[in-house]
Amino acid sequence: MRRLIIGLAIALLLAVATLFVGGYLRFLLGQLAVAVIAVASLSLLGNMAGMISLASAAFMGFGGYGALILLTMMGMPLVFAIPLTLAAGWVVGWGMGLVAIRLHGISLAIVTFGFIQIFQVFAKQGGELSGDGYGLVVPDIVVPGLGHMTQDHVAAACVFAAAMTVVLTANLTKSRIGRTWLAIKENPIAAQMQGVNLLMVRSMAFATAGAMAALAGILQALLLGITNPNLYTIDTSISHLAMMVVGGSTGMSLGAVLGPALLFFLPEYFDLGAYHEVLFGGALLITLVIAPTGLVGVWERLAALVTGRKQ
Amino acid sequence: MTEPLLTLRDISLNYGGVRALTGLNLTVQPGSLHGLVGPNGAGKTTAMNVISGLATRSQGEMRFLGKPFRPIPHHLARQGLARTFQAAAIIEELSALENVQLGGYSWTKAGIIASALKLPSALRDEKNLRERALTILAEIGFSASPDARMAELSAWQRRQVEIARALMTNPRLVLFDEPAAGLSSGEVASLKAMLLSLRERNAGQTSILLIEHNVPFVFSLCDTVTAMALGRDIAHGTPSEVRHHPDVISSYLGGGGQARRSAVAPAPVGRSVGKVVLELDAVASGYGATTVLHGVSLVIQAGETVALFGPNGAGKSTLLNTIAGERVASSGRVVWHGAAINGEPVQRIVERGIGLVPQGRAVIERQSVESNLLISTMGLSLNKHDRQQRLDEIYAQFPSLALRRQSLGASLSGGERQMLAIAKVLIRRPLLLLLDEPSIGLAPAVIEEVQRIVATLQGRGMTVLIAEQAVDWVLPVATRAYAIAAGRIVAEGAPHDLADVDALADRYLGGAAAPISSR
Repeated sequence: MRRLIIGLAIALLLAVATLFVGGYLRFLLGQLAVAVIAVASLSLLGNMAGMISLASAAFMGFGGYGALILLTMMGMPLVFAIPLTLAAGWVVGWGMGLVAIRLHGISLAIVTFGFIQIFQVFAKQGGELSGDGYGLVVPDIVVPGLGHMTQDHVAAACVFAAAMTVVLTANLTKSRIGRTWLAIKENPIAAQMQGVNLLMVRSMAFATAGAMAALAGILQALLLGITNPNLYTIDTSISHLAMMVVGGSTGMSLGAVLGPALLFFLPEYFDLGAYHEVLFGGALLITLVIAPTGLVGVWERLAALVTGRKQ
Repeated sequence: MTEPLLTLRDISLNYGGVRALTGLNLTVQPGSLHGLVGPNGAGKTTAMNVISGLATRSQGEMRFLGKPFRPIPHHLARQGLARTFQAAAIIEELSALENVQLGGYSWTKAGIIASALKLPSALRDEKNLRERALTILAEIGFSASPDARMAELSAWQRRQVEIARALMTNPRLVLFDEPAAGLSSGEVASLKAMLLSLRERNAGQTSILLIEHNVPFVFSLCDTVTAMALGRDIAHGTPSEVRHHPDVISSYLGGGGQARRSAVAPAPVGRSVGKVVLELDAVASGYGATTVLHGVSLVIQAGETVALFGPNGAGKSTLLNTIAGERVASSGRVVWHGAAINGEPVQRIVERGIGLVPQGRAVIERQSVESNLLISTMGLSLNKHDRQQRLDEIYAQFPSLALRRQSLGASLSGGERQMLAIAKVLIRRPLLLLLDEPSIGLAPAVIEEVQRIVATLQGRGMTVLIAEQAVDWVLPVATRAYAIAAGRIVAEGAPHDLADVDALADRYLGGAAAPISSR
């Protein structure tokens, strides 16, 4: 409980700090936070439970469109729209888990890719629900106590949510559930012998990842003020996957911050323009060839050198 | 008479064309330390997979704790059945303690939300798991730090972690799959003490079912032993009853160690037919940190048929694999026609004319018999005519394959697979044929066919090295023999001199008062 309160305090502190930085930086931090949540969702599936998903963009789109449909067309208040959309993301994730349950590796990735294709059909041809293919616009939202919600508020909320995501996934890693996910990744048969129902545990991982990606999608839509089919293409999923790989496979929670920080935040902040893609490809190549445990692994090795601890 | 803990009645199981179990009966009493022995291919691991629900579609009846039993893997922990695996199935990314905590999965409840928020219920579960895991690790004498990473642990410590994890489920019955594999003799002694103490848990009602290829170890440890051969039980009783049961001895040695009534004319024993083709000089080889062969030296001359006799785990397969380049000798030399070949890639060694028929019958299941054969001719740059000629030769030699040339590998019987595995090597016209336990799991009539093939090849002047546990079928064809035990050549000479029944039985099954053999 104490650690949870400390985590909450740090998340709040970071969120408040966001309000005091410059406008563009604040916007970028908000986007970074969205990417952190999306990558944490993929990392939970891939690095912990051993299932590669290309569907993060589809789930983000589901979150973005879902929340905006509830807000604009049904006039639902934000406090209800967000949990309802998360719950829906959870359920859809569960469903994808059931579909994908007997698949591994590339076949699983291709099935999850199919989810993006289905989502693209909705986003482009969903009629009124998808803004006739042009996307939806965030309405004016009044938050009790804050007044009209601005991009600044949303950016701070994104940072808060990302910080909490990191804390909560770190907790999960060191829990009964996290151990079970690692076990089904490395040795599903041994895991079964401890009483683990593979079907349940795998769909649970997909459901959790689905809700997390939906959260990223809701926050992104609120931050940008719009949804648009082009936000949720396979490119988005692949860049999330690349951030996950570069971030690192051990110490997943930290990796979900380091990957997006290097591959999204730095190039945008320093306006690397065309060099962005060079950095992207180079980082991926270097990670896969030289440091397969990613930035976290490099960090741990440096720490080990400094402290002289044997790895 | 108390109700047995576990009973298997007439269990049968087919894999593809192979009948892995053919009517197995097994009764495990509460509180007993029960050993399951049998030569390679007898179906021991399959039996374990049936009990733990990993092999399905079996026929027959099972009962556990007095109730009909249809094992579903993830229900077993709750029902009181735990198992360990041959290659310790531990999770490398978790610490020793976390691996053991996994075993408490079935009696803890904390879900995702409670775990992520560290709610009191999750913390309580975690505390219970931690305390219980630390207690069990201490009880079984785990000496490393509980927070150690798995990569830092020795084979024995990894084994201890796996056993502790099995005990976390509070089992009534623990299945042990080759727990002594890869352990030193001192560690085997510790394992034995540990297994004896496990039985005292649950007021002496915890049972152990153990399969292990180190047969003397089983006989010296267990109170009850069931012996298996060709997929069913052939003897059941005390270690001493089973040790001296004639069917058990013949299942290991084949035909009671006597030469099988001959399907072939006896080979000219001891003939020196030609110059030395293969020489091993003090070869050491193994897997990772485990050394299997300790300085093996042997010589094979052109035209000889050499037998390599030895029990399971003696290092026969490792020796053949080291010759064929599948494993690289860590020291010593492998010399082929005067040239050192150790360290050469497998492909190069195959081109030099050394052909290995591995254990387990390397047949491509989704290809036809003919495709299997043609795939083996790849890299030989044969023209269409030569290729057809070689196929015809093979079909002439293996009429059963000729009849099934369009059948898929998966549809072949065990005997046909063995023929195809041999044919796949012969079609390349090797100079030296290495056969790794070709008789495993085969019916006597099929073994005679293998014997006939070897005799024919011998007649054509081919050099053959046969690694075998079953002596009977090899005796009539072998011209010379080596005996291997615990990774060392222990005897060399005329086949009949080495195949003395009592001496072999002692070597395979342990003496009457069997000491634990060091491995």
